[in-house]
Amino acid sequence: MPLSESEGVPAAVAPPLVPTPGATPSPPHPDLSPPDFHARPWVHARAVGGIAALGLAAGVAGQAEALARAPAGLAAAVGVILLATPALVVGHQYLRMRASPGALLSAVADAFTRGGVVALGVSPAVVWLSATSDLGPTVGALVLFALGAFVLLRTLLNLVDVERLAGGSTEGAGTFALLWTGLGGLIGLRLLFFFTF
Amino acid sequence: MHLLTLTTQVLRDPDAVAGSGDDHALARLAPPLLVLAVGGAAVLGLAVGASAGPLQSVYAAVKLPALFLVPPLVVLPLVHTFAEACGVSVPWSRLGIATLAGLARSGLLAAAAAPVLWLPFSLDAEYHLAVLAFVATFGLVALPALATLSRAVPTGGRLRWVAVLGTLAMLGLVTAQTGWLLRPFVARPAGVVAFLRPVESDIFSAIGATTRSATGDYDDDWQPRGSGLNRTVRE
Repeated sequence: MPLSESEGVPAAVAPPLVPTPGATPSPPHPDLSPPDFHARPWVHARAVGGIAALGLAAGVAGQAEALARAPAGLAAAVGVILLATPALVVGHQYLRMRASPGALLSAVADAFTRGGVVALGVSPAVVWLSATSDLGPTVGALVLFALGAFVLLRTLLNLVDVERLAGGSTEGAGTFALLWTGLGGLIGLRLLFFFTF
Repeated sequence: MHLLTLTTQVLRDPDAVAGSGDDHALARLAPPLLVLAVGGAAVLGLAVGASAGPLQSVYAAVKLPALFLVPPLVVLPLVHTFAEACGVSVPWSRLGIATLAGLARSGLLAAAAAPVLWLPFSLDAEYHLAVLAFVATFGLVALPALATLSRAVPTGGRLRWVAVLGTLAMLGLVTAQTGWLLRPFVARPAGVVAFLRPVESDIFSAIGATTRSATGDYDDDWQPRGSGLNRTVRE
């Protein structure tokens, strides 16, 4: 099952992520998707499978270090969610921004899911490089870092979007989201280093 | 559609061909587009291998279409999923037909460039210069295919440019490695004519060795070694 924008849901009329009583939400950004991931476990499974497939693809020629990155990538992703998301929710509510915790979690889950789906798509290319050269571990690691950057960028945009849809200030939300994605990135790097070396 | 009509359309307006991307159109247009792509690449291969004799010409004519077709085949899932993750949906049928239209266009341009390349090759062009000329020609004729493919991804989605750039980077990497895998296209003057060399090392180690040699550093005695699955089998 494709991700939300692919389902033909007209984004312009998609419901806001979190309806805030009394607030007048600004028009939704056309790139924002409704957060119905709870109803679509297949999308989550595809994303998790994608990260695992990327690690296996990098180690298809038997390089042990690349095979080790399959669980390491997953563990780092889960670790970032577990360690950094509480700070996001608490900080967001403490600063009295308007989006609800549920919307924030959906925004983060959406970004991680998209990253996993891209990992699934890049796996055939990594298998090809890994099978025909010794580039597999290097390319696998580079792709993992690039995916991490993509996920953080997507999270940043999602967090600003949910705040705008809830009628809050995008400037404040942008700064807060930038700080939080920076924190998430550092935690992710630390965890990758921890699980890989 | 008549092959000649399709040829004209692919050259003049590939986006119109790519835009007719439903399953029915894909089934109808895929064979002639594939013929154009493979045929054009084979003509360029004939010209590239000419400097080392007819056997190398035939080998290069067989391998060059593979260099056209394998990288897009391997990278298409990334195009689809990356675009999807960036908020733009590209149906597989549209992606397939856009890829084939782009490849057909590049194949036709390759066929047109073949005589230009053959001329210096037939005059015993220096080996390294010949390789560079081949790589430059291949890069130039591949650009229109990339452009057609990137235009097939619909506009919209703020991170579309990330998807396009990421996909192009991976496509470049896979194409370079596939070219290395399928070498030699241009045979060394004193080398033995061979269809394929063993799977060994990778494109970047070879480029590094060539660069060092070009700067007069011959200390590093670089030798290709088994790599990837081939290394595993040897071990």
